[in-house]
Amino acid sequence: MKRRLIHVQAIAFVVIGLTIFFSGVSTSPFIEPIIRVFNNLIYPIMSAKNALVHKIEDTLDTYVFLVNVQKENRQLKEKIQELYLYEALYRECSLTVDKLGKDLKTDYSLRRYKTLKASIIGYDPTGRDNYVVINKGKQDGVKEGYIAVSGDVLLGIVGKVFQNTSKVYTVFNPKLKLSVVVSKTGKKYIYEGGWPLGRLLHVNIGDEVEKDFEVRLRDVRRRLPAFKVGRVERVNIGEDPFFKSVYIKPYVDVRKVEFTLLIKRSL
Amino acid sequence: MFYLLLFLTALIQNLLFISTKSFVIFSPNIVLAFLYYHSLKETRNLVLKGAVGGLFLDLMFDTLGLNIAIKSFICYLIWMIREKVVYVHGFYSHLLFFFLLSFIDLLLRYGLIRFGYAIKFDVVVVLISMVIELGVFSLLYAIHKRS
Repeated sequence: MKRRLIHVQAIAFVVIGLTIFFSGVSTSPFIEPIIRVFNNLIYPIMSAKNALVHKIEDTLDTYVFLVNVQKENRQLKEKIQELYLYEALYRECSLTVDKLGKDLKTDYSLRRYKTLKASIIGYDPTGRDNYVVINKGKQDGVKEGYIAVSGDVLLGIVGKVFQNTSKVYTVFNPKLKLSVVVSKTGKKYIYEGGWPLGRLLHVNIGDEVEKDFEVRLRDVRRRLPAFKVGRVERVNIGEDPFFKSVYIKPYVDVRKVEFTLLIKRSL
Repeated sequence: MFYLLLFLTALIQNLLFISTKSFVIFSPNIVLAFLYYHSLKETRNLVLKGAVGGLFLDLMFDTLGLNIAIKSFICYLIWMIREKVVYVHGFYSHLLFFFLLSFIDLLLRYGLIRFGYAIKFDVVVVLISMVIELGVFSLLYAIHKRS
């Protein structure tokens, strides 16, 4: 008899448990207060445990982060050693080119540029990335027309200079017009900024310009490096039958750039 | 006294829930280890005790009903085997038997909760939990033998 009772008891508990679980009784207004009271009783222990778990997880995350930083630091040190070698080679090349320039009586020489590092502190609120605001201004010696780069990619040209800040017109700005060269063909064009794509102006219908061709900055006086501007995204037949419409996708991702290097020289 | 210890065990199980990124059903099954340990001493009202242990867990994990059903069922299995089929002897037999019960418990918990939630089966957390609960079981078994 007693054994039969245990069988019944077991079946009853299983059925009741599953019914409660699947019917979602715990969220009903009658049961919820009871659960809340119970949870309030054990709340101090649970909150202390959660704090401890978070602390341990934070410590572990920090440890992993530091290990990664250490690894990266070692790799960078190795890279610096390699760059010292390239610097020596560069100096050698610079001397040779200077000498060649003198012999050929041209103004062709590798030179060091005066630069200024700046942080980006503001973006275009329209979302079209027409300009960025940097934390260097008139009192730091910034002048309109200075070139802003990020790595070997052109970010834009300093458009307006204030006392402590400056506005850099990016390659997405329709006001920006530059002399550029298509790397593969060597032909020169005018680049006009635009969002999300810039344009090459006056590309003759017969000119060989195709998708993925790289477009670089061209300094008429050849004093500046050919910074990358973008690549050809698409080529259409223009409204004017004599010209192609060539759209350029700029390389720079304005929202990703945190620092920029200003070259103290205008185009 | 037993129910107070059961409550404390459920609380410890809740505290031992290892990672904040994992789900509560993968916490080490300390309550089952305690119930199994208790069944070594006596099997009276074991199903009811299992249901109460499950209720404590459900209240803490906010899964009302799930652990009541599973713990009752597992305790019923323990009772059936202990009373009717065979008496398990020796530490390793108990350990293996407990492991099987714990595994059935885990599969039931995971299977039933999958009806409501899409939860990934976190193998690493499950393995860590299994090791912890087997360790706790061994400790309780040693205490039982001493006493």
